[in-house]
Amino acid sequence: MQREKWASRLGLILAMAGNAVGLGNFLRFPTQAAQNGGGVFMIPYMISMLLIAIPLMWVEWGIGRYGGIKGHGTTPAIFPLLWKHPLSKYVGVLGLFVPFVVVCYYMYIESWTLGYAIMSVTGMLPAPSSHMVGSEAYLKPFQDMLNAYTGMGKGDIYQPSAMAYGIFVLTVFLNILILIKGISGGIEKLAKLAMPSLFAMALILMIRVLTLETPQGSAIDGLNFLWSPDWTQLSNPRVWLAAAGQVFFTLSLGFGAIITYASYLKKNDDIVISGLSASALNELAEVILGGSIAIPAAAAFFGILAAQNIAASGAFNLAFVSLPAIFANIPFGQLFGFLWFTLLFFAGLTSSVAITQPIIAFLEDEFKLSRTVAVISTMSVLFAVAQVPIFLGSALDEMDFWAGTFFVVIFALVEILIFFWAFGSRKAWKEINRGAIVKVPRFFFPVMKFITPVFLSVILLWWIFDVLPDYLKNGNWTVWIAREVLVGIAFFLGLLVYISQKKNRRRR
Amino acid sequence: MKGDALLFMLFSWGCVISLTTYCFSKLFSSDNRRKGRRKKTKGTPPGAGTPARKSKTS
Repeated sequence: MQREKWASRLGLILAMAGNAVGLGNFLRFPTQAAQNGGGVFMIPYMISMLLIAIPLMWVEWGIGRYGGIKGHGTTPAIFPLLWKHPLSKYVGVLGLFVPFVVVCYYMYIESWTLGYAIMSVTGMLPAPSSHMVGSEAYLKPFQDMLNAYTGMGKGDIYQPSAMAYGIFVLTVFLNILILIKGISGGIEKLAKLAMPSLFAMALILMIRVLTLETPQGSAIDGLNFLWSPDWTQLSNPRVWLAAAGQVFFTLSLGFGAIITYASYLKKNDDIVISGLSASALNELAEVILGGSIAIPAAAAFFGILAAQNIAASGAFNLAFVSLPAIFANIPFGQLFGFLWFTLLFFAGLTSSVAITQPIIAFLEDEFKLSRTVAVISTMSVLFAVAQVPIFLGSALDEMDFWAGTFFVVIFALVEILIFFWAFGSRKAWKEINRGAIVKVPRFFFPVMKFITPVFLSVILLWWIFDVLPDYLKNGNWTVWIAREVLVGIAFFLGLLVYISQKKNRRRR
Repeated sequence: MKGDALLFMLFSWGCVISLTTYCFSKLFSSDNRRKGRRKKTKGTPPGAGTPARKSKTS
């Protein structure tokens, strides 16, 4: 069966950028920067970008294109080509496990943004207050609305509203419609439509937010708060680790999606400048647009002190409580609320199709299933597993910690070790530079071989010793069910890999 | 805006905009070069690409 290819280079870059630009660009980055030294955060951020994110991004593109030439788009089949060891295919299971688990809860959060976009435009969100009553009291109806919508915060079993569940089903259906049309007919077309719209909406919101002025403050106060450097934080190792974590997640590294997308490239297609362009678009969305909407709006509306509390209360509160409350109180607020949630929905949709694609590619490449059968079977299992984070308290956080944080770093470390150490650094370097418009500067060779793996090991060790013990102490029964589900998924995927290898050996 | 905050913001924005401009200008110039090469080969009749060498004996 002939593998699909991207129809155009621009389509590929937009799809890759769509994979990277997610909710984190508009929510996680500003809160991280505000909590970790303001402007000074950009120093470790840029250094981490240079030493971890960019090298790892090229490694993932290189692994993907190499696998694609040999007819494989996922790591259980690509790793054995790079590392001749019986264990390599099982290590590669991580490249299916991570994206699959993440998409099971990510698609649910994505559906909230669609739900809130609909509620904004139809006027279903709480009505604006005619008099200001302090930020906490003002935000309360919006917090209650979020609790009622998701059913979260009430005991161990959540009871989401019928609308939340219905919109989730609709979101799954939309993802199916796009994925079933394939790489160039579905994912690439979506990227070409969604990414320019996303940038246009973000620009409109940015201009509106920067012109906000209330008796409590202005957006410029928010920019001052976000960008003022706190030099004492530069010697704080936590700030460095936060920056390293942020650049890592913002480019969606270690998720397997970049590898699968790159496997649809042609043998001599450029990956150096294409990869850098996709990363640059992601940075544009994060540093310029992401940094100029949520926190400046909160500072303008509630004042600097309240904005600090809002930033510390986390990304969900910022997106689904504070911002709707602000938009509810400005002229044409319904329209701006709609733009904000549609922007988040587009960011979520382009990412969710990307992280679903590895499993679909695995079923197509290794089991020779048709696209339709591969999509329907993947989405059916995804829908079943998604019930765990929808209904079980703390399950979403648990799945996010293991699959979306811990194993992502392990997988990234494994990728770079296999490509640069097992496959061979010279071969890997040559592979990345094949067909390049501009060759990768020689400076990156020792970075990829030594510095990036060491940097990743440090992050991993810090998590193992500093963060992991606290997580393991959580003994709530819902958390244990979530952990058992994760183990079950890992075994199931391992079994699929075993069957596919056996089948393919017999075929050969 | 405060001076140091403005400096950090402009530095970060400048880095991101420069990187984006560099990448896309490289991409577009490479695409134009490729298109130009394709046009050249399309517009040349077969056999007319390289002028025949004059024989030393002629």
